[in-house]
Amino acid sequence: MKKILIADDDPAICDAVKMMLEMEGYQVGTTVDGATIYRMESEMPDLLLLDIWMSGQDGREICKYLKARESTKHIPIIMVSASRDIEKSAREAGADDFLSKPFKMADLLGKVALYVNR
Amino acid sequence: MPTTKVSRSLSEIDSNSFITIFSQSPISTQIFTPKGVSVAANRAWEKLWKIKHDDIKGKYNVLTDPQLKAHKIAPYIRRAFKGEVVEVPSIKYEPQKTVAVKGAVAYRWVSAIAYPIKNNEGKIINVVIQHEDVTERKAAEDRLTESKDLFDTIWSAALDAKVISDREGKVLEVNSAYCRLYGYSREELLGKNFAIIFPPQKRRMVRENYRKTFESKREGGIFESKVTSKTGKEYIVESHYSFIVQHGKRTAMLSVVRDITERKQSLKLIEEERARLTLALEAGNIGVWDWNTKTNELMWTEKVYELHQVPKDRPITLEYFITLIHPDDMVMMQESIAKALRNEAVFCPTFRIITPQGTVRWLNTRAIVFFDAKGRPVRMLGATSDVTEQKRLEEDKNDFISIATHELKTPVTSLKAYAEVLEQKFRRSGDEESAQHLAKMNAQLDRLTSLIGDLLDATKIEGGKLQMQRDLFAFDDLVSEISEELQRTTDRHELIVRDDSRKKVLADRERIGQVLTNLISNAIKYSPHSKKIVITSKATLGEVLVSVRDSGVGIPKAKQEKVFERFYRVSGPDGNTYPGLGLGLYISSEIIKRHGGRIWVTSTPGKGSTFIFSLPVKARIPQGNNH
Repeated sequence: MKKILIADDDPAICDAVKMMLEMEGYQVGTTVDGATIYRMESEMPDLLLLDIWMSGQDGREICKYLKARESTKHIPIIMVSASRDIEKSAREAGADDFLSKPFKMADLLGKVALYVNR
Repeated sequence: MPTTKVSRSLSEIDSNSFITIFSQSPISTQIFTPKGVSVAANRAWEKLWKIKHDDIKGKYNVLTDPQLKAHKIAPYIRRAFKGEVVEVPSIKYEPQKTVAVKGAVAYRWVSAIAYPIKNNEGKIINVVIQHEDVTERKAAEDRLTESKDLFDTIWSAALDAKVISDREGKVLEVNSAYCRLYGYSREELLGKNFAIIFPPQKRRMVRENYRKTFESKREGGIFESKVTSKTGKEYIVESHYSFIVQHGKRTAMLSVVRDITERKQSLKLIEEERARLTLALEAGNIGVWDWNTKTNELMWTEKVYELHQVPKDRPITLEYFITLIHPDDMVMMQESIAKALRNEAVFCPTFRIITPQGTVRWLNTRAIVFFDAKGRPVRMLGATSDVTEQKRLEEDKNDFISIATHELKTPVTSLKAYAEVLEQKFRRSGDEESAQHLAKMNAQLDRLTSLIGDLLDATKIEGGKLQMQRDLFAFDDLVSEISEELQRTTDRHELIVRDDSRKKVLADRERIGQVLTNLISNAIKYSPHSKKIVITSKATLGEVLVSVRDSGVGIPKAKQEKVFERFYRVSGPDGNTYPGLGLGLYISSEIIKRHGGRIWVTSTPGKGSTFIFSLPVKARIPQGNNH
């Protein structure tokens, strides 16, 4: 079973997306605090859904950090944001893909399926 | 006339002396026989008539001279021959016309005195005519008459009131304009002191002032005064006075009086107007500038210096102003000026300056351009105000809306996620009915998302922050995709798609999709009673063309331009508006324009509308901010 980590500062989004993904058969972890991702040592997820604007954290910074680290650079990261214009800078930070909020379930599931099986 | 007494002493004098006196005398003298024949004339005579007496001696007869007859002088001469002393009035003699005289030149004005010489018995033995050449005097008289006539003409025809008065103020001469101005007749003024035109209580002071002015060293001057005519009408007049000097002494004063009542009133109105304008400009914090496009001179009012925070003593040129413009706004400003000078657009830019102190201010200026007869620009006159505050507020507002829409999207995201999950759950458990409800909820959430998106887009457009991407995609695929999606939202309409462009297009796929969604959903919204909506796409030279045709309410001609404006909402035939923010077409128009395309509508009220847009196959999307 593939493991997915959701990082978003809105707990409702974390909860709803967790429900969505669990229904598809994924194992899902959530965090509202981006800082915890920095401390990730073991139990790496197979895919990370990363919100860009989290309170106190810029998702792009986290993405750059993870992609630079040997132990985490293989993890596919899909960046999520309410702002569509930010896609370019998200990809520049190293994101594998981008999703704008609010997203269609089909779109989310499709992208997740695409990257988690790489 | 020799008297008896004189003649006695004279008779003692030698006759030779008389002959000498006769010939040396400076007065032209001619002696005739009683029958009129000229027998002698002196040197002065010869000089006057420029002929030798010997040439006519014995031949010329004064009584038969036709010229004298013509001048009606003959009677005078005859009287002298009859025994009278006669003063002959001056006439113009033209000697060459006289019968016996040849070769003499020119004409003379000559007056004469003719008297008989009688012997002791009273018999006329000779007649003497003495002539005086009065040509010069006559010419002088003529000149005097001419100049008097000239003076009279100038004097009486003058529009300006004129009066000549003596040392005491007595009126020596006055023209009709003066009489009209003060309401007195010539007779009432001539010979009287001019002070009578003033009310009695003022006369003493007026005469005093007059005397002082007359005695003063000043040779002339101008002053204004308020006068009341005889009829009670009040005037403001301007008097120019100067002096007539004869033989080095002032003999009279010439006053020229002009009615400036109207001029004064006009000046007063102009001054009031000017004060009002200055006040308005100050209250509105508006500075005025004036640019002569030919000489390049630039004039700023004090306020403009303030607005630019430039010291007031600095000379202003166009070049200096340009150095103040913010580099990011330079291109826009240059284009605006160029377009205005070509009379292509109204000049009304909002731009930033960097003051000499280094602060950034937002200014708005609007101007009109003056053109010469050949249509070339000669002058630009404008007004500038500071809009930094407004801009900040606008930016704050736009920032707020961006944040707000961002915030709105957050709960919508989870709502949508829950709704979609539930729909899935119901479908999987076989509860189609509940699944349908959730599907409808989902559709509404999509609509909400769309509204929030429109609001955000409109704000971005205002702030010049609408960004576009470049995607390469198959145009027809997008058209079909959007049409299918929207067909699912209505079962009353049939969306007929004829996508025939067969082109790959370089544009922002999502945004163009947004435009298509907007046009098609409008078609659905505004044709509630009709069935077909036709969507076509085709390719033309370097462009793809899309049309969305409905048979709905249509748009009246007067409103067809307006539909693309921000906030514009169409009203139905019964006057109420259709739901929506009024932003869809505004945003669509902006998106198409940013791609370098065009969007327009043709419509007949009651029959339907066709919205069409063109898109260059290789969209020209300028990057970066624009205002």
